Amino acid sequence: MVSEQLFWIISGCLLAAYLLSLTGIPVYLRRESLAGDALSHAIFPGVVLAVWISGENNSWLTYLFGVLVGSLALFLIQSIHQKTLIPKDGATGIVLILFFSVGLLFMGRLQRSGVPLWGVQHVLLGKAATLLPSDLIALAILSVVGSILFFYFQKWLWLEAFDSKFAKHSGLPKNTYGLFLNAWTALVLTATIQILGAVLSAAMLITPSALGHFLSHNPKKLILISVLSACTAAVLAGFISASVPAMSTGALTVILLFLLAFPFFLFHPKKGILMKWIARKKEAGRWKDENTLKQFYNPANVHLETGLNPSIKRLLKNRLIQPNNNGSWELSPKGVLEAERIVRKHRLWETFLHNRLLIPQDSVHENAELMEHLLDDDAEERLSVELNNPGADPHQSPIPPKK
Amino acid sequence: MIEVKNLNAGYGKRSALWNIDFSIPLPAFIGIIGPNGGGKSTLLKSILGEITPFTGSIQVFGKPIGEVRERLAYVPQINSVDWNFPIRVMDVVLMGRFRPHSWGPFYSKSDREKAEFYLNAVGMFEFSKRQVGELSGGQRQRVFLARALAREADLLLLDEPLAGVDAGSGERILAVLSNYQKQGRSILMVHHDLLTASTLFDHLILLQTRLVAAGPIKDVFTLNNLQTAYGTDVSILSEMIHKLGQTPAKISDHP
Repeated sequence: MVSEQLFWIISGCLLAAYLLSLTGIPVYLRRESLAGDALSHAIFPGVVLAVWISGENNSWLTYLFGVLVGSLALFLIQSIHQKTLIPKDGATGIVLILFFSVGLLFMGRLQRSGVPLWGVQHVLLGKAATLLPSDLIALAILSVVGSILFFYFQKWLWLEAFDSKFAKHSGLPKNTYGLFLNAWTALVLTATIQILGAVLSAAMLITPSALGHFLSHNPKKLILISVLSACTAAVLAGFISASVPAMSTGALTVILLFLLAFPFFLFHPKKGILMKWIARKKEAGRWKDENTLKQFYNPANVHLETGLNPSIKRLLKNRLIQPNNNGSWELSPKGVLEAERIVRKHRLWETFLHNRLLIPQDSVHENAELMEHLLDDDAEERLSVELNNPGADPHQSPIPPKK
Repeated sequence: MIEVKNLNAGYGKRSALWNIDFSIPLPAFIGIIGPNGGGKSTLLKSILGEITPFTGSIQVFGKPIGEVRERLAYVPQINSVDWNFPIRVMDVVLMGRFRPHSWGPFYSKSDREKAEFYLNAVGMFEFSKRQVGELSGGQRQRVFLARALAREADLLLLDEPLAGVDAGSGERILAVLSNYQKQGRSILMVHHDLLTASTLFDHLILLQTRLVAAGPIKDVFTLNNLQTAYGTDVSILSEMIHKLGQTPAKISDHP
């Protein structure tokens, strides 16, 4: 049975995660991730100031100050960047710390003044347990409005994020649009930092989109993955933080999100680190097998492998070699064909390097050693035609005909 | 009418264009030619409003560029955007159909048809569902061209649209441009190949940091003017003299 308290906490986390991940998509796609981070810290003094002045938490003043102070911070970043030519990330760093310090100063004075804090001290780390019903209502309203805006302005969003100059030329009011998006992000962050905290709100803004982008370059899938992963992590974190004492919900959400993402970074069929490693291993194995086959093909070669190494095992398994009377191995009929295919590519390439690129006969072998594994059958066919189907390579070794 | 008066423009404190004055009636198919560093791209960027001129004024359709921006279309350099962006080829071309007052989340059916038409025109239709990141440089260039064409703007500005495009696609693109222009629209295009320039355009602007000549091609494309612009660049000139010898009908003998 879910207690009422737990229900509120989980609802709050879920709404915050949904809102942040959705808002984060334009922020991430416009490459404003760092500005998102700055914003989450820069609104801190605004929120403290609002509590100080109004004497209550989460009044409309909190949101107003959050948006105003956040917009001011972004404006400052832009001005510093334009006026001094300090790179944007540098300017962002400066403004972020400046605003955050001012917030800390306000906070110190506020604590000594005796005004009730109303949970504003949790702005740093967040604490879902202090959630008030009014917070939830605010989050719910923002979620609905955010979803409608996101859906309605999707054309604007992709156009401006992909190519802002072209957007401007197409008549998209770029400055107004940018200002609005920043103000909206500040508003969402003001609403969520009390649950997740400043640092973690910024993380929840960016991480889901980054995961979505890693897994898919399809816009719809990207949105789906971002939002679903964020919501899943938030609900799990809500449950855990409610049942285990002294667990920060925000930190837990972000860590869970990473844990959710981690298997994909490893096992994604195309981009996963592990899968890439396996593919490389396989490719290296193929090269080794092809080289071993060539050794068996050449009867003059006395350096035959005798040990039962992995390559020999694979060749035996694929019936490319078979045991002979001397207690060693020899090529099977199938193996002869395969070896001829590789030798043919090697010698054709040598002929090309020597005859066409005029590379001396004694320096063509090493390059051909690489190319014999890379040339596909189509390229090999064309190469042979291009060279008038030669019968022998520059070293006068016969080129096996194509079968 | 495209009208440039006393234009001085450049980057930082360095001037790339000096005292440019010309006017060319529209519609027209205008080529901007001249040696490297002659200010071809700078002129294009000034007309687009991407750089602010030091002095002078530019008017297109009788108005400053700021007021006619929506009647212009251009093809940016392909490295000006992040091609890892999560978007498909068709979505990029559809962007050409964006209008500030077309509210609502989706592009219309006729927008889609136009986008398909121009995607086909540049020979990229079969790629319409591909992610843009999977395309080669030449293919990206063609997608951007299709997007600009899909705007069906009154004036299309292009900066060497054939750079990095293979010969076959190049011919196809030139045919598309010719057709586009024949429908009463104008094209202003930076071009470096003098051989194709001599037959492609009806008006030329010949730049060598200063204006050498601007106007109808028969007045501009003369050996005298080309010598002024390209100076002692023997390879290009000998090529051109060869060309002048071959097709005297297209070249006027007098400057």
